[in-house]
Amino acid sequence: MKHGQVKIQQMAFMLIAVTLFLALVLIFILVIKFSGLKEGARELEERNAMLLVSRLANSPEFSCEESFGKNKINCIDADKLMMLKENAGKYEDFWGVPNIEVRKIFPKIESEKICTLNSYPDCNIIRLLSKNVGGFDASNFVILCRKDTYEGEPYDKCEIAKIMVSYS
Amino acid sequence: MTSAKSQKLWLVIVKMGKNNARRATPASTRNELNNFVSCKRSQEEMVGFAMIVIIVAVIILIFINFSIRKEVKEPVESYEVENFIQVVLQYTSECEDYMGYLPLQKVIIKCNDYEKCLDGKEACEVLNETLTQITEEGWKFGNNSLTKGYYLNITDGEKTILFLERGNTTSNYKGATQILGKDNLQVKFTSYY
Repeated sequence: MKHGQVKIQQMAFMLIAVTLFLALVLIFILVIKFSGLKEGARELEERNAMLLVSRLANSPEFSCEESFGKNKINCIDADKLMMLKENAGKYEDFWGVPNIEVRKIFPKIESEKICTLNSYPDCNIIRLLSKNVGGFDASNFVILCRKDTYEGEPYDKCEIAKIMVSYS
Repeated sequence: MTSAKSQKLWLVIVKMGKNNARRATPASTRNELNNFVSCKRSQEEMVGFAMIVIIVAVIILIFINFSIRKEVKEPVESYEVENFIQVVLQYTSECEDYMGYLPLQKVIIKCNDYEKCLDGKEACEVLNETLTQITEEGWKFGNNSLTKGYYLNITDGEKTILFLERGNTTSNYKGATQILGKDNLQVKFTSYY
């Protein structure tokens, strides 16, 4: 084999090697980029859930407004929420999440009891939306207020609850 | 040196000069007289190759670093701790006065003034019982739990009205303070994780 041919062969091998190397680098970059996208989307969903859960209690659909006195923050009107639950179908895509529930944590009820119009207020879980339970969730403390009576006299009863938002 | 030999050497030098015009360094480490000549080409190539390897390795390391590094979700968020204090203060306690059942915020004020509830129970006793139960339900702690411990402190200036501490204190924590309008009352809660 002549010297020139050897040089051409050497160059061809070099070109193949360089092309292969660049292809590998490109694949590596693409894999990282796409895995980053997935991760980014998940992080964005988590952040959305946290933002939603931190402001949901003060939204007009949930908040106590001035029904239980002034200056109530992070206060959810339980009676309003029960009515909202009955019309949950209309709000299916309103908040952009598949699951929203309010879970009473104090005073404690031993067994889990989901609230319906019949069981309310002797229950501890108000499930507003419940498409697919699972995935990432975020929760926040809220005060769950309702009108109650004691010896025929009405009074405001506020209990401690957690509002939970989850993405499937 | 004979004239024939010096002529041959001159020819070699001229030839090498011609070769050097095309190449920066000679292709071979030996000249046409089979003597070693100074050849830096292979050394330069090795250095170049090493530099390329180092640069590529650094780039790969940077990519790996970016792909491995993830944002870790905090087990306890600041807003949870802040909300917890606000929510606790609005809780309807079992302490009653002539206006009805009192929120814990008013029970704290009553306790600070050493007052009693309508049923004769000390406001401080109600406050202590209620807050102990609420924090136990709200912040489950333990080795298998994300929360390792917490402390709750209610003060009026230098005076401590209530102090609750459970679990272990760690270097990771989130805390919040709420000042009540009256008498420099301060509610401080810290959760350790």
